Amino acid sequence: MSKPEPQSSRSEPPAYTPTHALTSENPKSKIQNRKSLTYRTRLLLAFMLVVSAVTAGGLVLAERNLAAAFSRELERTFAAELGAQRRVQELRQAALAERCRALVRKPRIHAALEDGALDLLYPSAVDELRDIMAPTDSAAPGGLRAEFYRFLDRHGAVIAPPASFAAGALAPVETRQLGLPRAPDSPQLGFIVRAASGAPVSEIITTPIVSGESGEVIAALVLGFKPFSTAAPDPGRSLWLGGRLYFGDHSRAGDIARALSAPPTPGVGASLALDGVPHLLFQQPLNPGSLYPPAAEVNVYPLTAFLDRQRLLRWRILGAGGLLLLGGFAFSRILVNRLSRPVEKLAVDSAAHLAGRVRAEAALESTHEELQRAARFSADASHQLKTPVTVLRAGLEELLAHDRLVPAERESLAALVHQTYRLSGVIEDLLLLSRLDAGRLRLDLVPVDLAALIAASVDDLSALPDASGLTVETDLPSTLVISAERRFAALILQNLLENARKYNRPAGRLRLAVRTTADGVELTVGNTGRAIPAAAQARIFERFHRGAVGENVPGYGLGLNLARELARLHGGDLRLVRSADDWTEFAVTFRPA
Amino acid sequence: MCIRDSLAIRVGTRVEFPNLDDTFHNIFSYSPAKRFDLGRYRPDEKPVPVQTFDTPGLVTLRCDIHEHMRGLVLVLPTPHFVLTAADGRYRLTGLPPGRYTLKVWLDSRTTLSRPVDLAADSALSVDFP
Repeated sequence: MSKPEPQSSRSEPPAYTPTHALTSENPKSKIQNRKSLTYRTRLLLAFMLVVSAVTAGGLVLAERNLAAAFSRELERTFAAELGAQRRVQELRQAALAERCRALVRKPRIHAALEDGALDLLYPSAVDELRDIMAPTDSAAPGGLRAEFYRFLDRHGAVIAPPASFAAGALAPVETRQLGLPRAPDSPQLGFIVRAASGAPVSEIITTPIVSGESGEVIAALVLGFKPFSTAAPDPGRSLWLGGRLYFGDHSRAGDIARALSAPPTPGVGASLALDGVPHLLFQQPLNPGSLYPPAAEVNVYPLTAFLDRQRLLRWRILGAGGLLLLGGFAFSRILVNRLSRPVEKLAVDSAAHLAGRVRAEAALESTHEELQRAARFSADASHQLKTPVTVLRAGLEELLAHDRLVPAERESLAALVHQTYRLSGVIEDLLLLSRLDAGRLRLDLVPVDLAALIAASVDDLSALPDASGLTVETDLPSTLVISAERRFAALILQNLLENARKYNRPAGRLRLAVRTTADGVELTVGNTGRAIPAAAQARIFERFHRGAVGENVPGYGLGLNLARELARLHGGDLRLVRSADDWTEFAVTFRPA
Repeated sequence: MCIRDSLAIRVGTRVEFPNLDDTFHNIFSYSPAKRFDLGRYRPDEKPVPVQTFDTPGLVTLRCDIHEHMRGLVLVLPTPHFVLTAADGRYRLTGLPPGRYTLKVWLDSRTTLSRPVDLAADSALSVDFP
C-alpha cells in the first residue's frame, strides 16, 4: 500500500521544520554574537592602538637616539682622524721647517748671496743640501727628502741654477710656480703642480734668508718635497689645488672637486653619493695664510660600514619593536578576553531579556489589536442591531394596538414586545462594554450621594411585581458622597440589586450595607437563595456566564461583568464576598469624593 | 781663532790665518777680490795657511763651520791707510805732498771720499760727517 515515492515526498516537511527553526533562531544569536564581538573587537583594537602607539613612540625615540649616537660616533671618528692627520702634518712641517732654517744659515750660501758670488750659490748649495736631497735613483718614501731646490732673490724671482745642475729638474711651468712677489719674511708652505711624471704635486717650503750683516731678507730657499707618502696610496685621500684633485681615486676626482668649497675650509663637508654609495667628505687646509695658492687635503670616507652597522642596529631595534608589539598584542588579547567575558555575559543576558520583552510586546500588541477588533465588532454590531430592534418593537406595539386580537395572541405579542426590551438592554450593555474594552469610555466624575442613590434603587426594586415577597434591609448612613458618574454608579447598583432579586428564593431577604473602609466606600449587597457552586464562583464575572442555578431565571450574563468593569473604571472593584449556606454577598467599592 | 773684525792691507800682502782656538775652522771667502778656501784645519796644523791678496777690494771672510764668524779684509791699492780709533779719530802720517783722494770706508756698502791737497810739512784736518 505504501509506495516509496510518496513516502520520500512525505518525509520532506519534517526535514523542513528544523531548517525553519534554525533560520528563525539564527538572526538573534547572530546579533548577540555581533554585538559582543564588536565590544571585544573594539576593546582589543583600543588596546592594540595603545600598544602600537607606545611601541611606535619607543621606536621613534630609539631611532632618534641611534641616529644621534651614530652622528656623534661619526664626528668623533673623523675628529680623531682629522686630529691625527693634522698632528702628523704639523710634525712633518716642523721638521722640514727646522731643516730649512738650518740650511739657510749656512755660511757658504750667505757668502754666495751677500759677497757677490751668485755663481757659487748653487755649487755651494749642492754640498750643503746633499743630505736633504733625495738620491735620484731612489723612490724611497720619505717625506723629509727634498726633490729639488731653488733660490729666490730679494724680489721673489727664481735664481736660475747653472745649466744641467743637479738642483732637481723643473720644467719652466713648474719653476714659474715657485716665484713670489718678494722674498717672504717668514717660511711659506705651498704646492705646485708637476708637469713631469711622478707625483703630480710637490710640496714646497720657502724659507727666507736673512742677512747676518743688515738683518734684511736678501733671498729665500725653496725646497720641494713629495706632499705626503705615496708609497701606500690611499684612494680616499687626495690633495685639492686650484680646483683640481690630485692623488686618490682619479675616477671620482671631478665629483669630489665639485662638492668641495673653494677656497677650502676646514672641517667635515657635505656627504656625497659616489657610485650610489654615500661618502663623507672632509677637508683640511694645508697652507692657510700662505703667499702660495691655497691647497687642502681632502679625505673621502665611504659610509658603507657605518651605514651597514646603523642598518643592522635599526633592524635589531625594529625586530625588538616587532616582538614587543606581538607581545603587547598577545597580552592585550588575554586582557581583553578577561575583561570582556562578564560584559559579554551581560550583553547576552540583556539580549535574551530584550528578546523576551520583544516577544511579550508583540503578543500584547496582537492581543490588543484583537481586543480592539472585537470591541469594534461589538460596537458596530450593537449599533446595527439597535435600529432593527426599535423597528421591530414599534411594529409589535402597532399589532398589539389592534382590537381584533384574541387574548392569546395579545399575550404572545406582549411577550414579544418584552423580549425586544430585553434585546435592547443586551445591546445597550454590549455597546457600553465595547466602549469600555476599546478604552473609549471617559468618566465625568462628580460627587454622588450613594445613600440617596441606593434609596432610589431600592424604591425601583420594590416597584417590580415579583419583588413583593422580599424583605429589604438597609444599613446606611444618612449621607455618603462618592466620586462617580451618576448613571454608571446607578447601573452598577441596579445590576447588583437585580441579581439579588433574581437569584433570591421566594420570601427571601435582601440586605444592603455601606461602610467606609481604608480603600474607600464599600457597599455590600447580600441575598438569600441557593449558593453559587464553588467551581463556578471563579467564572461568574466572565461575559455571558450564567450560574447553573438560574436556567429558568431571566438574564443574559453581562450584568456582573459590566458592573465590575464600571466599578474598576471608577477606581474601585467588585468582588464576591461569599456564597454559601443560603447567603450570597457581593461587595463593590467606590472612591470617596 | 778669532777672525778680527776688520783688517786693512796693501795689495800683494800675504796674510797668515793661524787657528788659535781648540776647534776646527774653515776659513773661506767668496768675495770677488779674493776667493779662497782654506779647508778645515786644526790649531797645531803646520804650515799655517797663508793667502796673498793681489786684488784691491773688500774680502769677506767666513768660517764654514761657525756661521756666526765673519771678518773683513780691505785690500787697498795704496800704502797710506790707517784704522780709526773706536771713537773715529784717525791720524794718517808719512804722505808726500800732492793731490789725493781721501776715502773713508765705513762698511761694505758705505764709502765716503773727499779730494785733498797736501802741502809739504803740513797737516790737514778732515772730518767726515
